[in-house]
Formats: sequence, C-alpha cells, structure tokens
Amino acid sequence: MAKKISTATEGDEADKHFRDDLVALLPSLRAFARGLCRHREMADDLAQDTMMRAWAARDSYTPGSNFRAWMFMIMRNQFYTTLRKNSRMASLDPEVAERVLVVDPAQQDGINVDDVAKALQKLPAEQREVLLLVGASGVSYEEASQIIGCAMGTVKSRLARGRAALALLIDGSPDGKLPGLPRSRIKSANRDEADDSMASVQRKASTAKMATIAVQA
Amino acid sequence: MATAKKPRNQVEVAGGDPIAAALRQMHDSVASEDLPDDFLRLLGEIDARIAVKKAKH
Repeated sequence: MAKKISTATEGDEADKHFRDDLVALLPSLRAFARGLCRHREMADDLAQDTMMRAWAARDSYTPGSNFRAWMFMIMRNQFYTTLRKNSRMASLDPEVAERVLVVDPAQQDGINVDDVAKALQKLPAEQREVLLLVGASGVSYEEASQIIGCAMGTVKSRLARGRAALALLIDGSPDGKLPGLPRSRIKSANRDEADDSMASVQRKASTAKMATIAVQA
Repeated sequence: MATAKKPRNQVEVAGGDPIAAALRQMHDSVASEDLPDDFLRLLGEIDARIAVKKAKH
C-alpha cells in the first residue's frame, strides 16, 4: 500500500516537473512555430497543439533526456501533418514570392529582419527548418539531427546551403557581402538560385502532396 | 543637428554575421512576447488535471 502511495506521489511530481519544463520552453516553441508557419495565429495554434499532444504523451518521455529536442520533434511532426491537411497553406507561387522579397537598396550597412524572414520563406523546407533550429533557436547540431531525424552531417550541409541561399536572396552574395560581380551577373545568379529553390520546393509539394510555404493571400 | 533615421527592424552588426543576428532577433522578438491568454488557459487546464489526480491519491 505504501509503495502504491509512493508511486502515485512520484507520478504527481513527474507531472509537475513536466508542466514546469513545458512552461519554460513555451517562448522557444512559439518562436519556432512562428518561423515554420509565418502566420501568428497559425503558429500559436501549432504551439498549443504541440503543448497538449506533449502533455497527453508525457508518459512516453524519458525524464532526464533532451526535453527540448523531444518537444521540437513533436512540433515539427505536427507541422508537416497539418500542412498536408490544411487548405489555408498554399504552395509557393514564384511570382508572389518574388514580390514579397523587397530589399531596400539604401540598407548597405545592416540587414532587415523582415527581409530575412521573407527570404527564409523562399527556401526549401529542409533548409528553412535547420536555419530556424540552429540559427534562430540555438539548438545544437546533434539536437537538430534528433529533431529532424537525419545525420548530423546532413544538418551541417543543409545549414550551409540554406545560409548561402539566404545571403544570395538578400543581397546577392553567398557570404552576405556583395561580390565584385557585374550587377547583371548578380541578378542572374540570384534568379537561378531562387528558381532552383522554388523548383525544389514545388517538387516536394507535388511529390508529398503538401504545401511547403504559407503565402498570405 | 539632424540624425539619420534608422530603418525599422534593422539589425546592427559590428563585425558579426548579419544573417545569424537577424535569425536570432526573429526568435528573440517572439520569445519575449507575453504569453497569449489561450496558452494560459491551457496551462490552467493542465494544472486542474494535476490537482484532480493529486486529490484522487
């Protein structure tokens, strides 16, 4: 009997710890969701859904293991599941994507966060999620490989390619600094890269019958 | 004396990686927001479930 009471108390404590860990992670969960969904309301829906799914599945979590990776993995899986079902998500329209990426030529010394956010949405989903996890959320390569379910080397290469594509989309150079190329060549390289990214995105959307990027009507 | 107007939402980078700084700022700007009421309501539901479970024991 005493053992039963003890087990019940341990269960209560475990629930309490789980709840506290969940609360501590909510800001990061919301931020990751915002990067994935772009739309504030959809992102918060995703974060709330993740929260409740994680709570329902808390018995499958091993205390002491990586809680953040476990939570982000639930969110990522839920995001792609929702993406397949949700008609509010649309596949990337290259013309729309071109219009939303507006770079102010006067911004020579800094970089606009809104431009980065918009350019991020033009990248293939696999590069975007790695940039969001490692670059924005600050998770390690190892954690990212757990969350995505791929090798650490794959995370690193997707990160490098994503970062280069982002720089190219924003200011025309893979390293974030304008190279000494003729302007026409920069535009051409920019366009090729964007086209490659979009073709990749559209292939994925077609193959998996799911959209890759939410585009606000 | 007039000062130059800083463009909205622009990251200032002193010798760092501007893209990394922008990504980090994207994260931090959301993470620093107050939790919306919907989240607080869900947490309240979780707390209630914990309390009910505890009361049963």
